[in-house]
Amino acid sequence: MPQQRKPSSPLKDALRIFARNKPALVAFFMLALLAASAATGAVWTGKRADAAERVRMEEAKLVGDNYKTEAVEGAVLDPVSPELKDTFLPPLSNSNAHPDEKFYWLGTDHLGRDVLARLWAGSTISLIIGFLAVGISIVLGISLGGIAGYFGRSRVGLIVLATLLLLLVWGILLAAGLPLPAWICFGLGMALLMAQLGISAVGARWKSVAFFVVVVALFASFSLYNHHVETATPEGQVYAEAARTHRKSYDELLAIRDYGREVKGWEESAPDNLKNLNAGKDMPEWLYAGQLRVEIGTRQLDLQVARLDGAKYDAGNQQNLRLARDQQDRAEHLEGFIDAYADRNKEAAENEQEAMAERDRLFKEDRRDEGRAMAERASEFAIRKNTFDPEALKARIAKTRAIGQANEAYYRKVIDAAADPLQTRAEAIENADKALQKILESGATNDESLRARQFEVEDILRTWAQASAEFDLADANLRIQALNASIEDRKADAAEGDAGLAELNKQLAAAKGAKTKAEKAVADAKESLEGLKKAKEESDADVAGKLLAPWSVQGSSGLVDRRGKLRKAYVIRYETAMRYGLTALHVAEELNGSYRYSFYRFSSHFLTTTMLYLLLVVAALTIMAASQAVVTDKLKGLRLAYLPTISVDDLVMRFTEIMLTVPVIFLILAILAIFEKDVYITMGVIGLTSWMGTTRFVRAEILSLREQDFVQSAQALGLSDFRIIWRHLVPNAISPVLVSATLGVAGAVLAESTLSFLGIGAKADQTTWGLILSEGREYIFDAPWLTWIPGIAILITVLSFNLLGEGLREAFNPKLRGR
Amino acid sequence: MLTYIVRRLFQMALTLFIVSVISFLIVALAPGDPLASQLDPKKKDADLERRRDEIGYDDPVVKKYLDFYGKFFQDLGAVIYADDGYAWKLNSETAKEPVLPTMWRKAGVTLPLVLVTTLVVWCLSFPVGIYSALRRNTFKDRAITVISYTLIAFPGFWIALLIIGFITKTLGIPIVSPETIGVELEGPREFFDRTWHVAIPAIVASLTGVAVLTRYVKGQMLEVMDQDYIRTAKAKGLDADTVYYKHALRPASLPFVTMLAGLLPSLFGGSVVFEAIYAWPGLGRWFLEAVFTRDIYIVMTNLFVGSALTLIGILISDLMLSVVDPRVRLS
Repeated sequence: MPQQRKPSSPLKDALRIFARNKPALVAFFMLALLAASAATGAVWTGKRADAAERVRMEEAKLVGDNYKTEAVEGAVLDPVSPELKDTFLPPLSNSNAHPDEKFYWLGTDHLGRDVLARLWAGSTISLIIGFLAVGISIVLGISLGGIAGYFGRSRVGLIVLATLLLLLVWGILLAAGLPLPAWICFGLGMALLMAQLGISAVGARWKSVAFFVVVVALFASFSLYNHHVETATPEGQVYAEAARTHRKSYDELLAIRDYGREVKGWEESAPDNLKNLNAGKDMPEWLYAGQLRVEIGTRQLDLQVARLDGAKYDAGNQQNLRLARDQQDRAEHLEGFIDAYADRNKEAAENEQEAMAERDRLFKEDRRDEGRAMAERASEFAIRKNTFDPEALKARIAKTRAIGQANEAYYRKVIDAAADPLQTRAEAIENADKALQKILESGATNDESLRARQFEVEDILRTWAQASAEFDLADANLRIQALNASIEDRKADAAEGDAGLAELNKQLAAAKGAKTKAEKAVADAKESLEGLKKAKEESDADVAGKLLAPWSVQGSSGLVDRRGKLRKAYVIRYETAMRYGLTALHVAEELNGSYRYSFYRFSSHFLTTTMLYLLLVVAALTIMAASQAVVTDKLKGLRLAYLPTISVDDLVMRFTEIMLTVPVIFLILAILAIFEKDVYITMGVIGLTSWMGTTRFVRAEILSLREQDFVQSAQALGLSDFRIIWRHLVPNAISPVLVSATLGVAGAVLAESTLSFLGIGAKADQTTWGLILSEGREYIFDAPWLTWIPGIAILITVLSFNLLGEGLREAFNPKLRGR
Repeated sequence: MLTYIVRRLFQMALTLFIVSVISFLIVALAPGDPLASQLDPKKKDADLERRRDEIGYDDPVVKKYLDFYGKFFQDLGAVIYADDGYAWKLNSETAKEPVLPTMWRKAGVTLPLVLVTTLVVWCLSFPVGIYSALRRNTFKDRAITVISYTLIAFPGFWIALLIIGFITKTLGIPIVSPETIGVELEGPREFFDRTWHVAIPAIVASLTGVAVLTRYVKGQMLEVMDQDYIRTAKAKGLDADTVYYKHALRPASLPFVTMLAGLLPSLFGGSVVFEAIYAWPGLGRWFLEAVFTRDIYIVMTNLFVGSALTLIGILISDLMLSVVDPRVRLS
């Protein structure tokens, strides 16, 4: 009787086969080593902290300030700091700068940085990149392939397809700059989605409904939080105001540009027109109206920016006031640490004494090297002693408090002083804006019609002139007050020196000049307004006609020039505004010592946004699937809306084919050209362009598994789809995925190093192997180790992953089991 | 057959349209001003503004899209009809040259390199793969396997660098760029110079391809040789050569007809990495430079032509498969 085989589990079989495969085992141990190096690389490599830095770190921990430094406390090797005495040292050589301490196992590069350290640090980044990129591609591949394989045969209902298409078109139209049709599409798509939500609720698919509601609530709460930050904090308000101003001025600029185009066309169609125009005749009505809009639009733009300036000024002062108060709080906080400082100081002083004594003893015994080392220890204790000096802390506290108080007083003064001028200024802006609006509404289409309304228009123009002059005056006053305050401040602080004071005095003189000018302008404006009133009373048309200011009309070449200037001005203003908003947020972050504002405007927080939108898409898809199931089961009356169209399989696989059509290297390069150089973006792009293969074979795998008896019987038993997928399909399909993932990591490591080599992968301060190789490329003849070492590292890593993948494939191959 | 081709062409047009939209959105919605990278202090704002108007910088994306593809197809028509006095519509922003003729010229530079590479890959990997499959588990098979594994794991750019270093320094033969610059050569010397300059980069570039394809050929061959009909053929006493080369090789090489699909776009696109290292002024390097200078027209044209060639390649390989393999039916 043949010997009965022991029943063995598939896992044990796989392990046994794997253990027999020697190359795979070696690869596995190499990779374990690499993983260890990657894990330790983040902790043990970095800019080395010197004694002073270490003490400073300890102090920061003690008093709780967020001291930021590149240095790593327990760094074993330093891949960052250049050492110019040690450039191009071959492997296995001693350091010139520190002959006793440093030994370069793998040599140094053109900046004298340790290659071993760089390799170590690079192993962390390279491995993280490899795994994350494959993670992205595997997750996408499995979910799309799984959907196509498992649900492939079901056909998408008409209403579902319509919803999907509408929402897709919404995105494209919005991106294409066609907001109106885009939002119509969005509205229709949302209506259809809501209808499907209703159907799911009627069909009692509570799980799907609850999921959708939770995700939408999450989304809404983030939006509400943003709204709260925008309205409730001064920083947020400034930011929002900047964004609004930007939008408005952008629209205005677009309108102006369109007029410019029209003028150009008009000019090209009949060249004589320009001559006539420059002679001031035969101006077509629409052109006149257009020019008027351009004139007024540019002035309105100025007003917008002035409004923003006011808000900025105010918010900046408030923020400085808060900073001053925080400084005082900080002084109070530091007072609690005087005793702790005293303890540490005493301890350090004693240690220093001891070390000095020891040093003297060693020198006397002529043990010079040991004596020198002891002297160094003593100096480290001296640094400690000086840092933790209670007297110095007291002085610091006093100074912090004094500065805080002085600043608080100063900014209070400034805020008080600025209140009235700001008010005046705001009123002047509003008046000017109203006046401009009125001219625009007056409907003047040519000089004639403008003249016909001459009193009216002239009244507006002069009111506007007066308002803007008042605005200038208010501005000058404000500036003078602020400058006076700062000059007083400077005078009080004698150490500041005369240069700053002289500069301030110069500014003051300029501001005073501006004030005189503005005063005169206001007086003139008032006078001219009164003159007009008088002329109106006397109804003396001639006088008014003489008073009428010529409304300058520009030819189209002038207009093009003007547009060029406008764009530049616009860009500068926009950037300033945005930068100010962001700076304010950044300051707020530092101020709170936390990242409370990280979620602020989550549209600018990439990861959160991506996750939320993905969740939203998944939730919407769940609702659609649930409603379709409800209709097929129960509400047969709605069948027409769910008329089967394209199959899920077709939908997914066509998309995959489209992605396969674009040449990957071109696509990666084009995408990377858009973003700033960053190795993590490179990683994302590699992941997002490499999922198609996984999708295809996961689909094939699931398709063949679906037909197997055990899945069929599970379905016949009435198990839920979720359970079938999770308990029966995933365990059976996971091994080929694992194999392809392992091979994928090798590919991703290689791809990342190639891109870094081409100069588009990693930033200069992100040490990756490809970057080290690329830097060493120029010294290929003089310092060959700079290319050999990272090259061999990449080679070994990729080879190990490939061998491991092959080993796994063999181990999981059912044909080899039980042998 | 004809209806099949017509239907496939229609599908291709649809796919190409979607690809064009996606790739255009990626490139056209990139933030930043393409003119900002070439700020000329002599240029006034008004000049820049005029230039922006000319390239339609402020236009809505839909208009930009139609504009670009309108120009592209007009130029394509001129290329096809060899229209001599034609004023090219699509001009690159940085080099101020017409895009399509430049592309044609650059493809001419790339072609010899890629052609030789492909020839080396296909001519080397088939015999080696078959040999390795027929002598399974011998020492030579193991050696081939080890070498191909190592070659796959080699970073191509690194080995290219090492070989440049070795050949230019040790052997003293210049191999960077398509021909030796600054030296006038004639007759056979010119021929050998050109040969060196093509052969070495091509061989280096083919290493990874040879390794991958060898393993694939071997796998295919082994799979076919496990089939029952091969055993039957052996059992009925056919000589080994007939079994292997007539009964095994033909079905084993069928999948490679599908791989021909990738040949067309690769002949066109070449290798960005190797052209960058060996200073070949071909398509790959042209594209890389266009990416750095944000020259949208060049990037878009390359993406579109590359995708179109991929689709055409797939179609041709499907048709060829139906001719070679009688079991495949077009439907």
